[in-house]
Amino acid sequence: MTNLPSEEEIIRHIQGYFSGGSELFRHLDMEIISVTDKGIEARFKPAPEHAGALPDASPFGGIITTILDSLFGLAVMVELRAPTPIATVNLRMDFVDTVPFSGDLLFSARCTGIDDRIARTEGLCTVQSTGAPIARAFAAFAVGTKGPAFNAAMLEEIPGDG
Amino acid sequence: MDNEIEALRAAHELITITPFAKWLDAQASDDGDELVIRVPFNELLIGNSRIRAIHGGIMASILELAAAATLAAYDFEASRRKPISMQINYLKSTKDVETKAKGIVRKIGRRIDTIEAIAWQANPEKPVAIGICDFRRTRLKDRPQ
Repeated sequence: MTNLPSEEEIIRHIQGYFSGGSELFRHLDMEIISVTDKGIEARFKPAPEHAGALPDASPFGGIITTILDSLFGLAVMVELRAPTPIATVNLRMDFVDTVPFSGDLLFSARCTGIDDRIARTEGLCTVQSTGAPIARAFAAFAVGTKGPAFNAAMLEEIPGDG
Repeated sequence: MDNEIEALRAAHELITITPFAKWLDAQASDDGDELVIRVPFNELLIGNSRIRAIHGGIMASILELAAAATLAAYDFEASRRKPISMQINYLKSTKDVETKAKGIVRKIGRRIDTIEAIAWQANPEKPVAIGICDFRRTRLKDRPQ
């Protein structure tokens, strides 16, 4: 029986993963606010290079998709609590509104269940200052696919750390 | 021929005014008779370093850009569009190589346009992801000044 990592250990390693896991995550510089059984919350401040077509100067839709997709993978990982290969099957984005670069965006994502090796997730992006929704998303992941586990690098370091 | 040149010009212009497209280093090209968006590999695009796969959200961004460029090329008058929804299906693992994408106009409506986008890497017959993007038309008078 494997000892499962605690939520504190997971959030610490998720934060480490985002700050050093890849150049993309270092570039995005997301801040993980919380990781619980109810899901993941993160904060992101769009940079000028993340803008869509000018002169509107609102974030390009794909940058919001990128963050939500990242959080969805992590939400599934938290639900699984073990290194398991997963793959995104599909992703649905609804862009509710556009916002100028006026401040931070809040993201929340959660795994709503895993059934027959399909994990389902849902997420939301809002403006931190007003709570106004920017985008909603849903995604499905295949669990136990071929290949290395997305979360292996993170979780395998937890035992014995600190 | 003039229309093809104008379509390519419209796609170039869209990339030029879209900072995120420039961050992706996206380029528009006329491959035969279709507009293709090319995104060269960059380490910043990797989502899973273990398998060197392009991030799923970046793939979605490339599809969205291809759809928007296709729409701009199809109807290069002044009206602009905002994406209102997007459905992406991931078909194959990606690799750390150039990604290409194109769009197919499925509907041009009075308010909503629907574009199908297809992304591939080595072989256009084996797409890595496909998407359906719905855009809402924004009239000039609705634009922020």
